[in-house]
Amino acid sequence: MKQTESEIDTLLREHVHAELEGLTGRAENFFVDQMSREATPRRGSSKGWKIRITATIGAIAATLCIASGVSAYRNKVAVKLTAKPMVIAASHPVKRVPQAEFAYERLIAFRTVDAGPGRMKDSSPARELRREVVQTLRWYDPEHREQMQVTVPSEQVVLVKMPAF
Amino acid sequence: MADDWMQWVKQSQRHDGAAFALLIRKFERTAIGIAYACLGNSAGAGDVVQEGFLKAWQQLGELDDVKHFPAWLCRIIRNVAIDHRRKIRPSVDALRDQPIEDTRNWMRPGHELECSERRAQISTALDQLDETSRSAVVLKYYQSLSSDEIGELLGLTPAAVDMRLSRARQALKERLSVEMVQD
Repeated sequence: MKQTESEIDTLLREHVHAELEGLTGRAENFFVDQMSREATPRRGSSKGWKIRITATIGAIAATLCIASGVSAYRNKVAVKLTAKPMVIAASHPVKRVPQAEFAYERLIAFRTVDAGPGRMKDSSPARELRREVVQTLRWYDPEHREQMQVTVPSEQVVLVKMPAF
Repeated sequence: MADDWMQWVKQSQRHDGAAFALLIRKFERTAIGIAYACLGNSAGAGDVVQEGFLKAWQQLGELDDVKHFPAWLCRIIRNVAIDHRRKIRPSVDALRDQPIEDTRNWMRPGHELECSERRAQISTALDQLDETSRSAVVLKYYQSLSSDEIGELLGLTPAAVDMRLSRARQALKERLSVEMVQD
C-alpha cells in the first residue's frame, strides 16, 4: 500500500499530537510551586542550633561506643569460628536454577449487546446477542529487557430462540 | 510583540520568576517536542521538561546572548533527557507504572485495535530515525515550525532541516508501507 505525502503528513501530525496531548502546563505549575517553596522563610534560632549541635555530638559519641563494642564482639566470634571449622559436602551435584521473573498483567474487557431480533438457520425467530471481548496480555521479558503486549478482540454472536406465535 | 520573549529572558536573568513563567508558557511545547524526540516516548517527557526548565532558571546567568535562549534551552532539555534515559531502563516495574490501556471504552474493538496498532507502527518508525531527524519531525508536526525556526533550535541550516525532513518522511513512508504489507 503506497501512501501519499499528505497522508504521511496527516498521520504524523495526528500521532505526535496524540502522544503529547496533556503534557502542557505541568512545567509552569512545577516552577511556580518550586518558587513558592523557596520563598517560604526557613525557621531557625540560636537555641535550635545549640540543640542540634548537642544532639549531633551525642550521636557521634554513641556511634563510636557502638562501633567499638561491635568490633570487640566480632573479634570474639572470629576466634570461636576459626577454632572449629565445619565443612558440609554436597552429596550430589547442585544445579543452579535461574530465578524466573515472569510478571504479567492481563486485562479482559467484555460486554454483551442486544442486537435485536434475528433469525435462526431454520428461519425461526430469535434474539441476537453479541458478546464482544477484548483480551490484553502484557508481560516483561527479563532476558531481552523488553515489554510485550498482545491484544485480541473477538466477537461471539449468540442466537436465543424465541417462541413463535 | 514577537520579540517579547527576549525581554522576558532579560527580566528572568534579574530573577523575575513571573517573567520566567511566561517563558515556560512560550517554549513549553518546543521543550516537550525535544524531550519526546530524545526519549522516544512521551512517558518521561513531562518530567524532563519540568526538570529542564528548573535547570535553565538556575543557569540563566550563564546565557550571554538572550536571542540564543531557545537553542540554549533545547540543549539543556536534551541533556536532561539523556540523563533521564540512562536512569530509566525498561524493567519489570514498568508493568506497574504504566497500566494497560483501558479497553472497556472501546466502542468498536476492531477499529480501535487497528488505530492502536497504527500508533505503535508510527512510534516504531519514528524510533528508527536518528535523534536530530526525529526532533525535526516532531517540531514540524507538533508545533508547525518553519525550517528556519527548526534550524535555529537544532543548530542546522534551513536547507539541512528540509533535507532531513524529506529523508525522514521518505523513510517513514517506506517503513509504514512495508509494515502494512506485512500485516
